[in-house]
Amino acid sequence: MADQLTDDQLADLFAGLRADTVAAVLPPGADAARHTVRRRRQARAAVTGGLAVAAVAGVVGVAVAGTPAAPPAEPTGPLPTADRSALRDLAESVLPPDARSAAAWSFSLGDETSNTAGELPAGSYRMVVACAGDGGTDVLVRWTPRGEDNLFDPERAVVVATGETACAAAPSPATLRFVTPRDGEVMVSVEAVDGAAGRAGFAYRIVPAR
Amino acid sequence: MALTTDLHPPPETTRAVPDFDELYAAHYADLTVQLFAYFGDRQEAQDVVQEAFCRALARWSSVSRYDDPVAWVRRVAWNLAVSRWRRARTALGFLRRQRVAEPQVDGPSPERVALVRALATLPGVQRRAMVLHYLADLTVAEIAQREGVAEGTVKSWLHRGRAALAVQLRPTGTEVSRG
Repeated sequence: MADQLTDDQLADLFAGLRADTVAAVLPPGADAARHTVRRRRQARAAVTGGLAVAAVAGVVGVAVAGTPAAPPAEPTGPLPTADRSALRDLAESVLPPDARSAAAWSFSLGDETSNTAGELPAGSYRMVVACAGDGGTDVLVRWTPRGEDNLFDPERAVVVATGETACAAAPSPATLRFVTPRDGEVMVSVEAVDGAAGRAGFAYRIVPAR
Repeated sequence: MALTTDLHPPPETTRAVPDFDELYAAHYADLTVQLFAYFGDRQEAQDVVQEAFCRALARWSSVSRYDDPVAWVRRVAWNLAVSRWRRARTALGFLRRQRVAEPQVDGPSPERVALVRALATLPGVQRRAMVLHYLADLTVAEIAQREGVAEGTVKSWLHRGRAALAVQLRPTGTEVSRG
């Protein structure tokens, strides 16, 4: 049809958009990325055992605990399985016991993101976490209403909390708070950063806030 | 609760590990274009792509061994943009609309602006498919794998997206009658 664009014309439009935009973009640079990562590592080391939490959608609280520690170790390869299991057990051991626990997990951190999921009734929750070993973690908590299988879909699942933890040889627990507005499913994603993969264990427990 | 595995496929390979600086130099701008085309805000696109590269660098020993590290950076940038957009949609919606209306001295030409605006009218899945196909140069099969859908579904998204854009971006001087 004469009054509509052909596919070739459409492709040309996209190519033009790419060319124009690339020409106008000024990359901050790889060195800027390196500087950001270095600064974050230093900040993370300053609150070992603590949890820096970013509020999302106004439903997240913050609790920071911990003591100063040495900078995180550089990655030196995965530890033997027995050592990794010991770090996982160590992380779990520092979580305070709570009979009202709605969910609890512990695991060794690897290259892949560790995802754990389960159903939670609507309510306010405290998520107590601990990480034993090297490096740190990025923690992401997603929620989706019951019956909707959207936990992996960033455009549908609601991120109710995010945080960063620093791992330590003598970990101390930190707390992240979140709210589930209705009965639904929650997924906790924990990603190893700064050399934690293969060299750290992580544990968390979710309990009703009140 | 059931333990599941990862979003990010990290199969290790024996090929050479890519250099972070080279990957950044080769892909920062292109990824920014893709995010700009999808979300309509160039500065926002630059910010989230830079943040995604920072996250890649923080875990470079793992990301560099993925089959496609760029795909990982793209997904992280996309997820960051979605999260920001969801927050901004409610808190800053008015300001964002104002920003779009501002004159852009060094911005894209009106033709490019029209394309970005037309893209913004498409449903998310169609818009994403169009961006990944025309700007990220992904094949239908690659988009289907990324989205976790059948190839026929992607073809349908692309077909509908093309049709909608073709009408909106029809050559100047033509009219479309409305019932």
